Amino acid sequence: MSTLTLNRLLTGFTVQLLLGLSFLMIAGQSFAQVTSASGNSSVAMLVANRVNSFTITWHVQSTTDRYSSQAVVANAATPIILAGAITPSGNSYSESFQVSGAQVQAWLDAGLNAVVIRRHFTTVGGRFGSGVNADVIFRLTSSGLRSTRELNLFAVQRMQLSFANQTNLIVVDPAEELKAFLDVNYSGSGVLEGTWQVAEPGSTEGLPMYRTLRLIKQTLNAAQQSRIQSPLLPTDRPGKYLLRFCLVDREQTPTGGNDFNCPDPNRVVEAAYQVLAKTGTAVVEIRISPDKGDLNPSSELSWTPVVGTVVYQLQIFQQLGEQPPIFVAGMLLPQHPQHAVLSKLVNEKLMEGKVYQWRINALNPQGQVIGQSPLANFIYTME
Amino acid sequence: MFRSGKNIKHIFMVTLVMVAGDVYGAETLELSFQQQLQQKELLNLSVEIGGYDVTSFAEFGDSVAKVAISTELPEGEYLASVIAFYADGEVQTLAEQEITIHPQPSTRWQYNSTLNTSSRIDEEQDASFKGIESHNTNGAIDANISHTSQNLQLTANLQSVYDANSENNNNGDEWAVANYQAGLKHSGDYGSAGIYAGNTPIEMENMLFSSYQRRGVTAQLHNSDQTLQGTFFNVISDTTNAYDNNLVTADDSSEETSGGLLSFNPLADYPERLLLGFGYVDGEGTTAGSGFTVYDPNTVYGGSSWNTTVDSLWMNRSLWIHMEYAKSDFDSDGIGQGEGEQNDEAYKLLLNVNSNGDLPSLALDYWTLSVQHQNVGENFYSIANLGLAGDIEANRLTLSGNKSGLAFTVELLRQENNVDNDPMRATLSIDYSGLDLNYTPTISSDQNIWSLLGAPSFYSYIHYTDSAQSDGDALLVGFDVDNENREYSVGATFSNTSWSWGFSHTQTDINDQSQAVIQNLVEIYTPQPDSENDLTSLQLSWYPSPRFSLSPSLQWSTFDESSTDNEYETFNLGIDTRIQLIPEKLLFTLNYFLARNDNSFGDPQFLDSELNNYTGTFQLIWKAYQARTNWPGLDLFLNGSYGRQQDKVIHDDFENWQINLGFNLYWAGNRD
Repeated sequence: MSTLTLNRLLTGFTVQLLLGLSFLMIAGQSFAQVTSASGNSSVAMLVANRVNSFTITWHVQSTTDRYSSQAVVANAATPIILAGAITPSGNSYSESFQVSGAQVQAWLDAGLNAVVIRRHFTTVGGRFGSGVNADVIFRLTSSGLRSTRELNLFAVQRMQLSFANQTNLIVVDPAEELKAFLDVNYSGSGVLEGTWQVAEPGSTEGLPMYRTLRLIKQTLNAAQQSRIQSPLLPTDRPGKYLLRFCLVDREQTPTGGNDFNCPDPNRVVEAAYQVLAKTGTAVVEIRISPDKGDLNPSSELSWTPVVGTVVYQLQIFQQLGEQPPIFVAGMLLPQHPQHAVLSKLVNEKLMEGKVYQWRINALNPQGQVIGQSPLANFIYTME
Repeated sequence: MFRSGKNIKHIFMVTLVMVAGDVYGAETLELSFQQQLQQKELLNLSVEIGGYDVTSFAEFGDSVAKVAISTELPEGEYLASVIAFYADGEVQTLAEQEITIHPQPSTRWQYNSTLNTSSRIDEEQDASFKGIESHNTNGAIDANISHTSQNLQLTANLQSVYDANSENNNNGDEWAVANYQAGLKHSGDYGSAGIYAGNTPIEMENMLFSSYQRRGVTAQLHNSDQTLQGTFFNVISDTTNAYDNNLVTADDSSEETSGGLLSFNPLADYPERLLLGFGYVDGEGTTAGSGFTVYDPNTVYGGSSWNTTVDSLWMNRSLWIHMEYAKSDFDSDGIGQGEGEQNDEAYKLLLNVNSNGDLPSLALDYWTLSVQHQNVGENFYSIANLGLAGDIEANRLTLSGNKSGLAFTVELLRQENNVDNDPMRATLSIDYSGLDLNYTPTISSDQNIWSLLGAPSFYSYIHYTDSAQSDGDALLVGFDVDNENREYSVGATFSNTSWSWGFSHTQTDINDQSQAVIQNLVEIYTPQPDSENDLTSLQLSWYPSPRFSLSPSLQWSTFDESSTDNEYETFNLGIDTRIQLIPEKLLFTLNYFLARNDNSFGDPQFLDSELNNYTGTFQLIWKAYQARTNWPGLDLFLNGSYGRQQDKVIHDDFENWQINLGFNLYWAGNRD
């Protein structure tokens, strides 16, 4: 382990300066003590197929300035030195590290599946050994792709945000029902916590201002991958919208998220969509009656007219569980009148006591749908 | 079959023409009776095409029915029949005929575009806006065109967006192409063949492909009776929205993926009895792309994979048997790094029985039982399905059904990894069981209490997950896994003509029984504290008139860790309002959102935190000119946003707002 390829980005000059200042302060600090020390890393995993660049933020509570000897990999048989001594000021101190893939592979070959990077903080004037350890644990894996299979601890390894067109960008009509999909790849099983946030016209022209659409906490227990659907996204105004999903990892960011910033910029996926303006070519909503209750062979179905219609298309579906509705029967009807009873042919295809859904489409001479009603449930009865 | 009754928007239409068989463009369909009408009391004569009763457009002669529908029907193959209903209950099919409707020669196009230009007229005097132009233009176009001759069909579509404030775009470019495709398809007696450039989805879900759509070139073909179908493609491996590169072919061979799929029905008379499928994919790419966040976005993985599938349907689709076997040679630790390509295999067996066909529905309206076994080797990968779970054996049983509006799903799942029993790897077992219930009673909202509450729909579920690593594996891998997760949820929605509302509550309990792991006197694994998580939601939508709607929503979450006494509480409240001050002329929208995050820590050395966020946007729109087909419309608008972040502990208060004035020019048209 003598050929570590670790590079500490904190400049040597800065360290020397801080060390010099700390030595000047030693004499007057004999009764101070460090009460707590901890660290958070921007990554939880080190991979063997690339250079791992990450930042550890050390949090230290003490009544005076504090001092740390070298940062080491503490769980190796012989502690491995990663970085030199520091004397940070303030309660938080960010330190950047780079660990080569070859080094991670060497650790794996030596039988280490995790490394603990430790700093021992003590007061500048304190007695040796009287301080507090701050440990940060990193899991090791041979590649990012393999991580979902190699690690059994719950951890989100990869996220993708997309729309129905399988990309993270889409153009939609006004008031169109739009949802996005979050594909999550993870190891182990656990609870995914995060927020769906959107920035809307009014802010996306300048500085995007996000608001939370929904907070989710969902158990992920399928094998290594899950697809999560977003809430219904706003599409009522023309313009540009930005969508993001912010992952909240309580181990990395205990305080969770807020709406101005995702808690961890490395654990956010983003998408955008543009809503077109409402034009005269939009599909008109048709109101139908009855929109609930029982229907029998003599029930009259009626609907509101749509200008330009030459044929109304009556459709009947059956909803089976989570599957899309299955088409059961239908009728093509002339533009007048806007009411009908179910035909003998349709009645033959319906079963008494079953729940169905019906709707009306308005078709123009080219067969295009220029009007549509929502689906309405009904129970079919013979009487 | 009229596309199974789905919307027929965006499908080529033709005028129903025919006398029988192939149809290109007549006005009337004539169906000659193959049987004579019987000499008894006739109740009704009906004509059906593709599942639709078209009797309203039919005229009946002594031995023929003529149908003239005043709209075009989608191209495709349909079963047309004439049916007689007699007073004694007998039903007689007088004529039955397969008809094929071909596209009518035509050129059609349509587009919808918008250009939104605004200027920031006021803002918080804060450094936040430094570097952000005060003028912004964004817009989008959605266009498609098609030309159809007798056998040829040329299509093109494009979805593109522009934003001068490119910092808002994921890729930093002002232009981005969400989706595009250009295609040429030829149909004839042999079947059809088409070639497409652009975004083409591979409509296949198996171990090789999943939700796979990339830019590239795709060829698709099938024979006349569709018993042989093939798709071949060469695509760019990673997802992209770029407008100036990687449009059709990859700029680099390490970003390219090729492959193909074939499906074949060898039994012509019983095509559903046996369907064979073959797939192959070979390529290199990363796990990243637009919309992805990953640990190592630059590592290139790659290799080849193939699979074969067998599907068999019996008892009028009540029994479905599916088998899949796949192999791969794949470099999963990065090409040029570590190990080279390694081969491995995967297989899947699925048995599905249901009451949709010949099997009885018993006492239920319908039911489905599915049993699945899947085994994916540690080194099996596909470049077109990089998220596939691997090194895992999974057994799943699902039973679902419905009775009078009460739907249920029972699911049992057992997964175990380390399929090769590698002594150097830990073995994790995950057992899951769940019961989901949904109840939607068919109730008239005019009845009693439902007229007050709205038509109801209820749901509830219980999910239980037990994850455990084999004893002794903790020291091997440096961590322990032994936890139970219980999730309970109830909820309801109520809808009425002018409003709807709903609530839900979910409780998640996690009990961690894992042990700490010590290595060289250092604790390298610390068990997680037990926790209870409660999430309550309430939402309401009220639309008393077409001119006004109000939609408040509320979420309240608490997360308590028992052993640490850490408590996290989140409270979100949002309100959306939309008002037509002057109908179709002056519109006002406003949304406001409050989030409160309170965290308290059991360790007194950590400071509690209390963070409040307030955000809101508004927009006032004056519709100066309403768009008509092929004529632009113009909206003038004033909009803005407000945000405030308040840290109550350290007394930090940050505020930000902006107001924009602008116009939106939009233009839509078509030629049909």
